[in-house]
Amino acid sequence: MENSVLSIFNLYVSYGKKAVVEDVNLELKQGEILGIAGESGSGKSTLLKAILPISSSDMTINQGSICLKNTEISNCSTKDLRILRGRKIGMIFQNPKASFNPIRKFRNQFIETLKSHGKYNKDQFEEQIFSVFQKLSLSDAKRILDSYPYEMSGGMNQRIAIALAVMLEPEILLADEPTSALDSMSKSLVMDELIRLRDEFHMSIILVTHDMHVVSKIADSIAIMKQGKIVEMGLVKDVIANPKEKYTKSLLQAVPQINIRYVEECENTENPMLVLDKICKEFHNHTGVLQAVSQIDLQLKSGEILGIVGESGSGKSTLLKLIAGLEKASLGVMTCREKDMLGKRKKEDLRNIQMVFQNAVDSFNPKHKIKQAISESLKNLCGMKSRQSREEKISELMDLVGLDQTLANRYPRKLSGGQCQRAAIARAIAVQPEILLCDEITSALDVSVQAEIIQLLLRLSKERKLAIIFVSHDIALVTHMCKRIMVMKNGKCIEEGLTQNLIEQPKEEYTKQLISVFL
Amino acid sequence: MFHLQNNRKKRKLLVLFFFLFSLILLSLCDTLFLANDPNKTNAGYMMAAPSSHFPFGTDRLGRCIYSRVLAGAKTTILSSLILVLITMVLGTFLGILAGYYGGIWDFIIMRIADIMLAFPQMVLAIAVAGILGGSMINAMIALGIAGWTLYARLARGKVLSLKNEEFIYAARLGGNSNTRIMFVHVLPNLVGELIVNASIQIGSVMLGFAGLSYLGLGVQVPKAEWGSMVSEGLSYMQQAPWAVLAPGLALFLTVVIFNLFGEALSDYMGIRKTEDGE
Repeated sequence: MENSVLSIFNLYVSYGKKAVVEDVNLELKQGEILGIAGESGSGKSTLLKAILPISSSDMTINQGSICLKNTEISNCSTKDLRILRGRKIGMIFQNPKASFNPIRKFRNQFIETLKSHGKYNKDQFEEQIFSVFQKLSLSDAKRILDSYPYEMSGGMNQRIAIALAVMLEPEILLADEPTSALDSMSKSLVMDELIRLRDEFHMSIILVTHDMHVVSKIADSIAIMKQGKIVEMGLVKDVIANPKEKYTKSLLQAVPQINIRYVEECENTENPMLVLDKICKEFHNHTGVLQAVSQIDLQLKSGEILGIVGESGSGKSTLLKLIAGLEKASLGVMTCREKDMLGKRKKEDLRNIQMVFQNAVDSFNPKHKIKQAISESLKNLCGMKSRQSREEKISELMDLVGLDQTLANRYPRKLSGGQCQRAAIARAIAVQPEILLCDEITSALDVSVQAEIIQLLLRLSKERKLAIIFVSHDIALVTHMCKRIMVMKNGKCIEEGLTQNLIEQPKEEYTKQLISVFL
Repeated sequence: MFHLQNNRKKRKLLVLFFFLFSLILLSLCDTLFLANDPNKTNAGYMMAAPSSHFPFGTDRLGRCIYSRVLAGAKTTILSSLILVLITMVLGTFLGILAGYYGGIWDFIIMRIADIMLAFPQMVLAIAVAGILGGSMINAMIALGIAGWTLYARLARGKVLSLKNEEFIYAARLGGNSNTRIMFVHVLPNLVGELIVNASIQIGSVMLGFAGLSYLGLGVQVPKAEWGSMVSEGLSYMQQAPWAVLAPGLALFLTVVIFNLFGEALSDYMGIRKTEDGE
């Protein structure tokens, strides 16, 4: 066991009586990135918690040992844990904005952390930071130190969090889904950062993620977890090239790759159903006017699937809300089947355009059962007065989206994310709309569930001639299902075209960057 | 461990609820427990010390203090409950209106609330009760005129954050009217917090009533009310301390029970929220 930094032997962890991690054996070498992949609920975060308990929880380590350089740490006292945290084992979290105090400058937060670990030296402080920032290719260190976390993007915050973790020179770094809250551009930057940590600082990293794409790009070895057990382990190149377990294969298949869906159907020559002409939306805030959406033209034919891609903050969600009638446009014209859509909407207009939201669980009233939510739309918009006909329709819809009928009697929080998103789709299509707006509907889901939802949408679109506008920051995902793609940046449409043309010959630099992440 | 903690909170809540319930029951059925007529004066027993016949002694007019404390419970507890209920309903309604529609509604309602809050609440109540004259109804108006602002502000704040939740957007797309969204989708999601606040508020409303009555602006003689009993007994406290102590202690205990209940309720609801989000 030469060069071994951390070894876990025969580990069993449970919450109360529920076993979450069972019989895990791991070995982390110096300067190695170990990726732990698996779906949510597979126990990978719990494994990290067992290595470095953050707060008192009811988690218990039933059996096994965790050794950090030949020192047993699984039964440390609280006092020893404080030394361990940060100084020996660093950690970065999923939500980068939550790991800093939003109303204090980075400088103070760096000083505070260094002081509490006894590594603060007033004269060398800036020098020390600058050298770390330089190695992590974070330019303009002075400006970063004097800004507030809320002024920085999520990706930037994550890179600064990594820099802070590195400052303490821990022996190992635990990264809990460090990229899953980021859009694809920031994601690749953070990935580069982790690689640099390994190469420049010879740090050992445990990277927990559900994103096989990230693991395959940066990790040296990989462990696949399923229901608390490690089902497959090995070098990344071996596992990726030659997966043994069925589960690993399914995870790998679900990785979004740029994959153009050739639409063979004959060209749709109808007139466009939905037409947007120079639509603008301004928000007024204390700093002035924010142009969230500016001069967007858009046309959608029936049965067509249009993808809109862009980073967070590019105005794509606002655009969808405008189309759904949830926001009022400041300027421009919007018509649906030659009817003006900017005024107050009547019931049939509402029926025509429905929307599915990013956080499925939040899109249902927590106090109402799924059944009630769907039944409400049916009653309001389709005029289905009798309870029985609504119940029948609901069971039909649940079948259509592939959900068990009994789930309709549950509250939204008692469903999984994927199930809830299916229910949300059921609610949206219940009133038989012609246009379905999807706002990042898969980004909160596991990859395998993502693929299922996409299949469902494709099927619905085909069966019902449903036009779909699919908004995502993930260009690979969009290529799977959309015939046309529109790229948005800062509220403007910078490029639009057929998927194939856009992917193979992108005109704009920005589009090229978006695509290059996946190549 | 989590469940144990939750059970302990539940038990605490149940015990306090039992106390609270017995208090309300006692105030409703006070006539069953009366030892004497609370308003009957008795010249032979002026300022008599506690005895078997008069468990808490008598006051200057020879009225049985035990019976008056019981009769006072009805006035104090019931009118506090009614007042809190009315202010909560009214304040919540106005708060939801202000938060949901925003704009001019918000401006008018919240500025009125601000004006009400600019005065110290008790001073405002004294002024109103002074102008309207002393009676229990007027005391309720006096306390209610500023009391609703608490609920209005709370409801408005909650509505402002709920308004941008995805489920409210979804409800709008589902063809619900604004009224239905406000009362079917928004209200149930903030009612828990409002009830917790109301239960904490009951104690201070009781003290408010007692204060107004103490100043002679609440109930009219000879009706029994704890505040006015304290105020009356104060002038001869040296000779008959029980005339002050008995209603004072009753008030103290009741307020403590209501406050502890409110606290326990908010603890319990807090736990429940994290457990299953309902």
